[in-house]
Amino acid sequence: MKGWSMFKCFSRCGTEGVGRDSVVPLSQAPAGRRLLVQRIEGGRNLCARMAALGIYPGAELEVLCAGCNRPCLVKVHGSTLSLGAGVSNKILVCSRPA
Amino acid sequence: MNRTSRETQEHLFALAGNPNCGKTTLFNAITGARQHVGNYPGITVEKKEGLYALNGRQIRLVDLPGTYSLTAYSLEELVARDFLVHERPEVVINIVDASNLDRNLYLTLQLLELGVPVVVALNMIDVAEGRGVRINAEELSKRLGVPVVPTVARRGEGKDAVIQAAVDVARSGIRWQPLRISYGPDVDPVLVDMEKIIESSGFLTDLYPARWTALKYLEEDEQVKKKGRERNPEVSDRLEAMAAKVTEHIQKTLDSYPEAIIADHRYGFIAALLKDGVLEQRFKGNRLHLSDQIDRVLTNRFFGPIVMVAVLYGVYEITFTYSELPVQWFEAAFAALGRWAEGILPEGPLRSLVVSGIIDGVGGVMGFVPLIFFMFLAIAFLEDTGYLARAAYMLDRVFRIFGLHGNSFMAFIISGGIAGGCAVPGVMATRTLRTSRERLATLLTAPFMNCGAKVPVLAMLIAAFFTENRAQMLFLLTLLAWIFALVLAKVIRLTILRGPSSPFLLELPPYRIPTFKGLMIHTWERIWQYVRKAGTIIVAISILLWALMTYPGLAPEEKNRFEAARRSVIEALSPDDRAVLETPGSGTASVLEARRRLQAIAREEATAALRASFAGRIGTALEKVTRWCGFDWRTNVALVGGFAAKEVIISTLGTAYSLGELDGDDSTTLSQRLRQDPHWNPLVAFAAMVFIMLYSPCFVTVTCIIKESGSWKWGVFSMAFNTTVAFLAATAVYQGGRLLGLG
Repeated sequence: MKGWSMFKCFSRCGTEGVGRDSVVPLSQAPAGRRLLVQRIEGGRNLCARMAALGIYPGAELEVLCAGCNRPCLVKVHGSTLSLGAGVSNKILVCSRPA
Repeated sequence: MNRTSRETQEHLFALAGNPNCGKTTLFNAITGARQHVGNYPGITVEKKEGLYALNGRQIRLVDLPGTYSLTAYSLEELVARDFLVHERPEVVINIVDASNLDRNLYLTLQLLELGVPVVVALNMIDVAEGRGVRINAEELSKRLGVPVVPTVARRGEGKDAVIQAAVDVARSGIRWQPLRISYGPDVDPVLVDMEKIIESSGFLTDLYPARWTALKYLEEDEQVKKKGRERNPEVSDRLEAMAAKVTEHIQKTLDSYPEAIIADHRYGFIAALLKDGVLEQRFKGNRLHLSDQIDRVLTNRFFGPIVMVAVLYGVYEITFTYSELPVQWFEAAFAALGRWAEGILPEGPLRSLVVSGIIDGVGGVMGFVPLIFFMFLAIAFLEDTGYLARAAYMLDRVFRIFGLHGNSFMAFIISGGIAGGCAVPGVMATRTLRTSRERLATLLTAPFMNCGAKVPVLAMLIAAFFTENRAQMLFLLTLLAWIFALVLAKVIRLTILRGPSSPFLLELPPYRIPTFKGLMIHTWERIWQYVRKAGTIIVAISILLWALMTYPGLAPEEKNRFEAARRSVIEALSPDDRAVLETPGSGTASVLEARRRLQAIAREEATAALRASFAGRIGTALEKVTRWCGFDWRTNVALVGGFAAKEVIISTLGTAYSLGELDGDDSTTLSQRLRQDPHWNPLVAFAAMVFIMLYSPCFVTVTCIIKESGSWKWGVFSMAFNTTVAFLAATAVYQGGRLLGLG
């Protein structure tokens, strides 16, 4: 939750000097690295539901397993969530600034 | 519905919290076995209530469904919210997972915004400390303005303190006091304007705080909007217009939604709450926890499925190995009871009713309680360890192939995917699926699973004809049930329910070692439901079926024919022989021969009587069709009865065969009787098992399908469709087997 206030649902990772091109959907994110949620696309419902699950812009997460033909496994705030392709394609993440 | 007197003996408290935060564990720790499980009126979310006494005060504790939020996106959330608003518990005990504080407090904030008095149970502090997180509960309590009690629910630590804190809050007579969170310059002004309108017009203020209603209008909460429109359409329209305007503004200027802004500020509020000394991270928790390491193996692409199949197979082995002896005891006990009743009751309709209708019927069902006990115990173990969620995760891909959803797995499992379970809650569990196509496809195919009622029937047939490979046979039948369910789901999704799939979303709880108490409580609940069903519906159906099979009985001329046959046998005997005829175990060869002939006549008469009964006529009429799959009228009668409840198949077969064999000495079990019957053989038994597995769901399930799908057409469809499938499959088995020279 550190540095939370800098990241809104509409924030850009670019503020920390990370290029826009490093923003990828969660489903394509590299496993084993700490990532920051940059934005949640899709409808209003999804944004609110994700927030209740602890996935909101600025939240830190770690991908345990992605792109392995299964729902994406993500670690957020110490809990493990599995998100199907329909969801994980709509969550944009960027790597955590050093 | 305000509880008027605070000083009455009874307090009403509610337990709220995220799924997997230890809520049920705490509930079990507090209430122990004094629980009552039911449903919320009209809907199917489980409602758990328990009683607890503290210093002479009765406390009624309601375990709300686990939710992440209080929006209207899921039925659980709606139920939790409605309970709080309509039942107005004096205190909500909010269980918060200390090792995942931010997300758990997200729900806490919403409870506080609703205004309900809250006591926070800071659970799993031991786990949090293991992860290097230290929480200053006192400071958190000060900042939240509510009591915060550290607990370790698994060990029952802190449960008394939590209840005491809740009682203190209740006795202090505190009023509902909604928390106000600032939502920033884009939302706050309009919220304030909306609040003014709401307060001045008294709009829904009896139910919700004004600001809360305003927030719900911003969030496009359908339930609140609907209530609002009913109450005061004019105010509702104004609020909707205001919400639409600010939404448009936020979309234009910030490229965002009100929900996002609201969530943002809530997490901002939480971050501020935890700052400066409330939450201390002593070491970075980025090392992989034990749970994650286990997951590396158990959800591994290669090992995961292997382990899963092994686990499911293990469930059978355990169930069958441990239940074998108790099942025999139950059977023996009911056989003895039947003999005893036969001994004390005079011959006639009453004895027939008690022995054939009630004792045989209930005994047949109750005899399988041990089996179901071990099955449920195994499922409770898988559930409580957290493995079941992994299975859903791993299976999502597979389910997607068949046009279903990872969450369909739960419906299938509950319906009897691991044999045992019940299609009724299974059909209800499809509520976790949000798109109606996947949901309908799941609820139409879930009843193919081997529910706890079919298992005893299958087990009885397996015991009769596949003694050597009992576990393997049930395993095979379970695989078959899955194959049929999935393939037919695909067929349904490609034809009558075409359309895209919905997203998958599931939390995988950390692996935990289940508590013995928790396992026992979960198992007991399910066993009790089964036994209760056996004690009520099944008795009634047994009696009804007994009547169907007893009346109208033989025509007088038929009766006279049997009477004449009997007389001719007796008259052929010498007077001496006639005198000893009624004394068993004595007499000359001619007496023995006469006795044998009399018994044969009695059997023939009973069979003729059953055939002439209502049930026999139905079964006989169906024989024209069912001979294709190898069933005679007796099986048909049982299958017709099975529509009422699948367990009834056993009791009906039991009644049918005991009526047909009036030997007096009825200690042989149904399995043995079927084995001795010339009509039955392993091929017929297998075809029957396939048919029983697939044919029309019982009427309770059909009722649920109608309720859940909102249309009686789906109920009728499932009856017709499933029975057709069952008939075709059983015919294929029987005819195929005969071609191969089996049977």
